[in-house]
Amino acid sequence: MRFLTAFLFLLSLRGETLDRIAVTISKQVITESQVLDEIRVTAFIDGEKPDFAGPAKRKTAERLVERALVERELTLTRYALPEITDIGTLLVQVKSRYPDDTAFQKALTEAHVAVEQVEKHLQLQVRLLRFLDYRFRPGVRITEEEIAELYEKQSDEWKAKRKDPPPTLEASRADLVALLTRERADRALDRWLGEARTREQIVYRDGVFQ
Amino acid sequence: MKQLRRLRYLKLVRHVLGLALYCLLPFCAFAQFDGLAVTRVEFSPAAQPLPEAELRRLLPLRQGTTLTPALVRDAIQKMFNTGRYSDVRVDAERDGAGVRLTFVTELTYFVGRVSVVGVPDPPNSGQLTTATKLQLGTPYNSNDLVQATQNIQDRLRSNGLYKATIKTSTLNDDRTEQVAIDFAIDPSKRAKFEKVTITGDPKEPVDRLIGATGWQRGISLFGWAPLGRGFLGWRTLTQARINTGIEHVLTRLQKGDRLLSTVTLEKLDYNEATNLVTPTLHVDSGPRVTVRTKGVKLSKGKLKQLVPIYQERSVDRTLLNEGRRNLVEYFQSQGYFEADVDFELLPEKNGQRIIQFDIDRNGRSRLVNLEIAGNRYFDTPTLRERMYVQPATFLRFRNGRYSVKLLNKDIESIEDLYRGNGFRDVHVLSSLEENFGGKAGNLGARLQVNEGPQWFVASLELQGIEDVDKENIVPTLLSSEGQPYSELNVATDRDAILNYFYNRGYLNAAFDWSQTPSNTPTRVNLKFVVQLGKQQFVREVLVSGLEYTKRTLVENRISLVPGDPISQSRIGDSQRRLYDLGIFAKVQTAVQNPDGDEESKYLLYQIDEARRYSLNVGVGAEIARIGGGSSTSFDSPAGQAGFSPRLSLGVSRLNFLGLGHTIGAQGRISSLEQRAVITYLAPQFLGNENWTFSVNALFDQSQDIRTFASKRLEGSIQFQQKLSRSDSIQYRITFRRATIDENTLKIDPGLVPLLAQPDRVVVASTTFIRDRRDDPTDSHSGSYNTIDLSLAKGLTESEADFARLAFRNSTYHRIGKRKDLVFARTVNFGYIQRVAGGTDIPLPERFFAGGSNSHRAFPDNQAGPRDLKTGFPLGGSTQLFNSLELRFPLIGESLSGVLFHDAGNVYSDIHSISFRFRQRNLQDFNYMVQSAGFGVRYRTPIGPLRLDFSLSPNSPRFFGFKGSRDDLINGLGTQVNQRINVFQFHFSLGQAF
Repeated sequence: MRFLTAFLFLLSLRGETLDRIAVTISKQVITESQVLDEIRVTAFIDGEKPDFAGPAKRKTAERLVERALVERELTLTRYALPEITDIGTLLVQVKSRYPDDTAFQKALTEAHVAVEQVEKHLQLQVRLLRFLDYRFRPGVRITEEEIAELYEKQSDEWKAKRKDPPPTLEASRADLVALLTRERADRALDRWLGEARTREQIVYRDGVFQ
Repeated sequence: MKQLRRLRYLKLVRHVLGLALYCLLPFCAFAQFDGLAVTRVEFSPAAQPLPEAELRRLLPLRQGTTLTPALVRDAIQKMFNTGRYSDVRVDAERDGAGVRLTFVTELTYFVGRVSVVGVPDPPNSGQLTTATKLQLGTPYNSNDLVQATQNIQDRLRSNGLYKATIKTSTLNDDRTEQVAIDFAIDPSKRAKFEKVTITGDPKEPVDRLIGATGWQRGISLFGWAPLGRGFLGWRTLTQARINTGIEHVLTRLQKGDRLLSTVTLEKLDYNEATNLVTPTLHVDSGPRVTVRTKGVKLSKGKLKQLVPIYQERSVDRTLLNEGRRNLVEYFQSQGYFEADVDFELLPEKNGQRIIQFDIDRNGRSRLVNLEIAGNRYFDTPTLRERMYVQPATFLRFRNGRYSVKLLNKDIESIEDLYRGNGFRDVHVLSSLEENFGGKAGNLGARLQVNEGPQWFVASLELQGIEDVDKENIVPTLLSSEGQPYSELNVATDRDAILNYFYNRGYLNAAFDWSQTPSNTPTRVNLKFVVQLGKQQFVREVLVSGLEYTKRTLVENRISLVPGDPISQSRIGDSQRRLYDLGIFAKVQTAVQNPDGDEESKYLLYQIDEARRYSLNVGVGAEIARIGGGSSTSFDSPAGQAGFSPRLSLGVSRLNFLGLGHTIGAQGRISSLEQRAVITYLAPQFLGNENWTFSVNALFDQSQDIRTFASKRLEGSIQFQQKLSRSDSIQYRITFRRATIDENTLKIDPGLVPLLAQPDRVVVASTTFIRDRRDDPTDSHSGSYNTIDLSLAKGLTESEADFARLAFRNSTYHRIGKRKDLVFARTVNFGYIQRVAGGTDIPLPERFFAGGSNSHRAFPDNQAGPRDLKTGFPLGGSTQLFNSLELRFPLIGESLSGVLFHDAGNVYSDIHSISFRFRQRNLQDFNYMVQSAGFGVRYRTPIGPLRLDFSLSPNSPRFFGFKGSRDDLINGLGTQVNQRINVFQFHFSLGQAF
């Protein structure tokens, strides 16, 4: 008993690293604790076990960098994004994995995640999607040839999987356009992120990701 | 009971193990300390780059603060924002009931002095320093050094220095966090070309193309293969040589009309064993391209000038369109205002491609009238000044200058002028009247200005500015209450406000503005909002790069001291003062850690000292009325066209003793003059930028005055004081000894004993200069005044004491409707009065004048009294000249003309000054010689080239002497009537005054 008490005391006395710089985007700092928070919150929302290993931390840090670049663009260009007033649907989806609110709260406590963190995370995700919509989708131009080409490809896949005839081109036009637009917008976002990374000085502190 | 205890124990063990595991998780640290009170905040290392007070002020965590993750992140962000830390970690340790925090930091270092030594020019030191891309004051990263070394290596290799080695060394200064970076280069031997391989489709003999590169030694003429090629070998490789070689090959191909040819350097094969390089050029000649015109004939030279495919060495529709526009503009400038030009690319045939410009000039017109109506606020001359469109004039624009494009440009410029003065709704309409005045081909352009209402500022609100600053700023604003309102004025005010704060340490000041309509019509309320940001101060001034120069010399010229707000203008002023010393090749300034948020910053001055020795050699010749027989000949006292070769040599030692002074010696030898000057110049004397001190020693032996040859030894000490931007004053003491070679005196032998006496004087003099000219080399407006007063004391009683006064007054006025004429006038007066000793003014001290810069009726130094027996000039004690010039544009922008009138003379004494036109007899020289003439000026970067033709109806007539010196002494020989040629010409550089 005495041994255990002493162990506890010593444990509480030892010095700890509270936080440190994980990555810098020019003058903006992302600390290690922010990376860890992000891992926990993401894992909680996805219903997965958090992975605190070096590569997972690095991947999360890269995601935070991308988010920071988008936020910076939003601030600099004063994009008039619509207000994010309701993330209720998304939160309901997360909660639906639990039988009741008590179970949800218990899961939050066990994961060391606050409900505000979950809400904020969802808000940021919505904001990112809106940015994608406003910044890149309007610039996407889909030609008839591209729609026809994708229809051909989808039809072949349909025929290979199912016996009934595939829907007509006109019937699936809206879905095809949406699919192509999303792909193009994603590609445009990737290109933009690549350029944004070259404009900023991004330095990862290797020690944090080992 | 025992079981119960055991159960409790097991629970405790589970709890402890759980806690232990929990503490191993990454988020445990905060869990342990979250919510505890901070007992102490420490730093590791203890010595931090920021002053402790600033650091404590910066951090949101201090004793008694309740610890939260957000506060720790905020503290890390704030420390990083200062720019002085490359890494920050926060450690925590229990301290009683609270927590002790330690900020473990790693410092950022900044780029300091960058030096490159052992440089083999080319590339020179500046090019290599630039290649490093290391910017003074910016954060230093060791990766940057690797990249910089690679860049230097690349630059050396491209200049044939394949075997060069580079040693880098860095020296960290922990106190200032500066890194001095040195690159030591061992260049080794520069590689030579070995041969040239040409691939592709050259369509020209390869030998000729290789010859055109100029990479082989030998003399290459007219693009032939160099003479001497083969046994003279190959040249060394440099980047410039590669570029010019390729350029020459392209030029050669273009001469054969191969405008689509391309020449690219494919590779440089380097043979390490032999240190030789074989370049491979890929040449694709392409088809011959012929440009021709249909409808109008144009010379090939004109086409080359107007169609940019020749300059760009490429053919595409963009360039051809540009050529089409140029042709249209060219014809419009010739009076074909409706010219229509199109082009077509004819299909390639037999390896030839034809570009045809179809030109329809559509009849010639003259813009004879330009009318502007409806303008009330600005008068017509003010608007005309800003216009390109010009009605026809006699010489310069014979058909006027007009095109729709030019007219639209003018309309835009007039509207901008009005908008800048509050006429927001201004609108200018244009109309063109054909057959103006009933004459076919004549055009009249009319601009109707609809000014609209003028808008004014009803009120101006300044937000974010302290009252004390408002007092300084408001008087400088254009958009103050009651003033015209325009966005241009607001933009000017914005710059004024931001500059004001940038110069007071607010380097991140930002400006925003808004306007709202006032209750009064055509009035607006303005609001300027200024976000000042943090004020930044000088922490210390760091000067680097001084090897020979005394540090105090530099420091005394930097006005900013620690504690001063950082001011861009004061940094620039200090930099200018350092450049003005003339001893530094480069003065770089920077604020260390420019993006950092710290309050006080190091101010950096990185100085490259210039080479201390400079040598100049010059060869030239003078062609003028300088000859006319030998130095003992009595022929042509007024001079004849002659030729005098000239050689000059100079050496200067800059930064003497590290004081910023210059010591120099300059020698000039010609058949007319031998001169040596030693100078010692101390600019910004004793740290005062308004004072310059100089010492001069001169030896001069000259025959530029045809009457005699003299030797002059002179020493002088001079102080020059700059009183204002335009005014300066000089104080001078001169010791002078001038002797005349009696054997060269071409005067009455009876006068020789008197005039051949040596002149030994000490002269105290002062000169006041007021220079308010717009351009000293080619003045259009302003004035130039000088007054010079001297008092000379002879060294012996027999030598003359005399006083001398000289002044010049010149003014320049723009005249004419378009203010493109210049009326210039000048008057020069000089007077010498003997005050004691001797009997006459010694010859070397007299006024000798006449020539291109004083009176154009005379050849150089030919004005004034003459020897009555020989006719050679004797100089005078008074001079008075007046010149008038009308300077006007002649053809285009570079060639202008001058009509001038010169009047005046050198007089024997002040009482002899006369405005009389007629010369009474051949012994009368005290009258006013007049001349009128015409000149042309061609504008060059160093001033206008000048050619003046002068006609003088009353040029002096005089008795000359025909015979030898012996004849003169023995009273033999004959007198002949002579006259200064009524027609004179002068060719020189710079305006006459």
